[in-house]
Amino acid sequence: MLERRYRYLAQSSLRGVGGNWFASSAALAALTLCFFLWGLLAAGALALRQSLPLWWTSDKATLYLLPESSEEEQQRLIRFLKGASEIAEVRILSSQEAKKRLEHQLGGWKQILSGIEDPILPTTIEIAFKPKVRHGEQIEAVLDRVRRQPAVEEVFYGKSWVERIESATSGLRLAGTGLMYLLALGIFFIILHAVKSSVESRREELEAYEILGATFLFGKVPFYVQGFLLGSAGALMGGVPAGLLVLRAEKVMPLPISGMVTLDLWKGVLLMLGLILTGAVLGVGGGWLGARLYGPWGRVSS
Amino acid sequence: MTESCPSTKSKIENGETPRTTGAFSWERTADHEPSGTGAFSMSRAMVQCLHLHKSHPGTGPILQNACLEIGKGEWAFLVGETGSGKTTLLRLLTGLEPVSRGQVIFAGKNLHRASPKERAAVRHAMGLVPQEPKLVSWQTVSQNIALPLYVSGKDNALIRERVQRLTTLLNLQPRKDVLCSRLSAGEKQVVSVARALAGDPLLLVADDPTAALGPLAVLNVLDVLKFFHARGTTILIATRDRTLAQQVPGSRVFALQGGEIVEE
Repeated sequence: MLERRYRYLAQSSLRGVGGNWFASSAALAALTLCFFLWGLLAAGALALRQSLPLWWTSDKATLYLLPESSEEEQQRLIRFLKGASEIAEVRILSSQEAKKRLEHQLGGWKQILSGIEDPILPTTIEIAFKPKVRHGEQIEAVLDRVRRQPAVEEVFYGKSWVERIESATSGLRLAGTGLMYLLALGIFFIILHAVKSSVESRREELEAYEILGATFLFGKVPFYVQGFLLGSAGALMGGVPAGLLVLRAEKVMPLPISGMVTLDLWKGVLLMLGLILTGAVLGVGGGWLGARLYGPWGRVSS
Repeated sequence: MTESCPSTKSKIENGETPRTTGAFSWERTADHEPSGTGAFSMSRAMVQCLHLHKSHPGTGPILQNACLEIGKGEWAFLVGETGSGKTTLLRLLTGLEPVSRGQVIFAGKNLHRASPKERAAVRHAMGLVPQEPKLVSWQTVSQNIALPLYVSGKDNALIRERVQRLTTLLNLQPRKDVLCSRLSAGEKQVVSVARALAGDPLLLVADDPTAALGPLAVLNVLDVLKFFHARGTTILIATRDRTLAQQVPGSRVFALQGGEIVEE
């Protein structure tokens, strides 16, 4: 008998989706779009969060030496750097090596250097900090000491870039979070209205269940199931392609965008599962509220 | 406020016995008992309406101090013109609509103070034929008739037997596998009556159940109702057609006049 009831429940739930196919299709299309955007935002934010520390750890300070500095001054500087407890690595680049590196970094644009007389870059020293001194203030203190060395003409440290990126991403993060809330609200309302439309089209049937005292399993649960199906199908159709797109972006996008969208496969898969779960939860919530607000029950005083 | 209204007291309480007629056989076994009545004590009165008031916002009062008491096994008609408040009274009486003031006592329990679970139990014990048939359009005649039995979790054999019997009694056999969306208004009303009877209710409340029926169908429905009444089902029918009551000798007739109930 239990089996018969659940068979009826399944039929009734599918009826809620299929019986009002135009409204259901429109809702599903809108949900797919919302989840696609949501998935892009979530996966993008995740990829950015994963990429930023990479830039930070790979951040190195570059010391440009005075062209007139003597060999002795340079050696003294190197000894000073190697003796500093905050510095992990010191690497000297001749002007030729510095040029080669610049050409490599420019890639297809390296022809812009043609015609410029050597030395394009002075002799430089790259220093990498120890993991324990990755905070801005500590690094600045070390660099102040370095700047005071006689052979040093200029110290380039990408802190300002990192700060700019951080500031931009925090703004983006805020905007993205706001947009994600709006999309979640949109998803909820789409499901709510799909359920409302379904309730309206089945009012007579629902009143029949009300008359028979079968408001929960026969009356309300099919709408929870309808919300669940719409929410999870929308997430599957919109969220999964968005996740896959971000996963693929690293390979197909040119530099430097590809470096900004690094996302581990397992994180991507988790994100997609999370989106489907969120879709299901929002769906059941929308179904519950839709059935509660628009159903013919609950008019009896208690 | 639990005092009853003397003018509409049940005849059973006054010492009269319900009339019993029967033309069909239907075994009432323990398994046939309506489910979910455990929460309700069984007094002599099946249902009592005590000083009911009902008004909707923006409209005048529909019912004013309406009192009604129907004893177990009685057959009563509630007559009145269109808009007199018959449907509203039946909806209050079955707990489908909240009262503005007053009480509805079903089997000793105030229906409008009952929990949702208790109200569901009451609905299982009642059979309700609404003014509009309110069928599940995507289900067949048989499936619609079986619905109260699905809901109360009866076994397949009993469901088959009840559906078979009711479709035979109400001449629905040739249409039993037809989807309800394809039925005529009269057929839908007969299916609605069959569905209300399928649960073998203690109380059958019907709102103009013969409005869409031809004379022969009316007689057939009345015969089936008489059979159920003979087996102890209490019946309350709201109708505009006073002649319907004349076809059920011994039945009580109440009239709705200016929002009050008067026994004729």
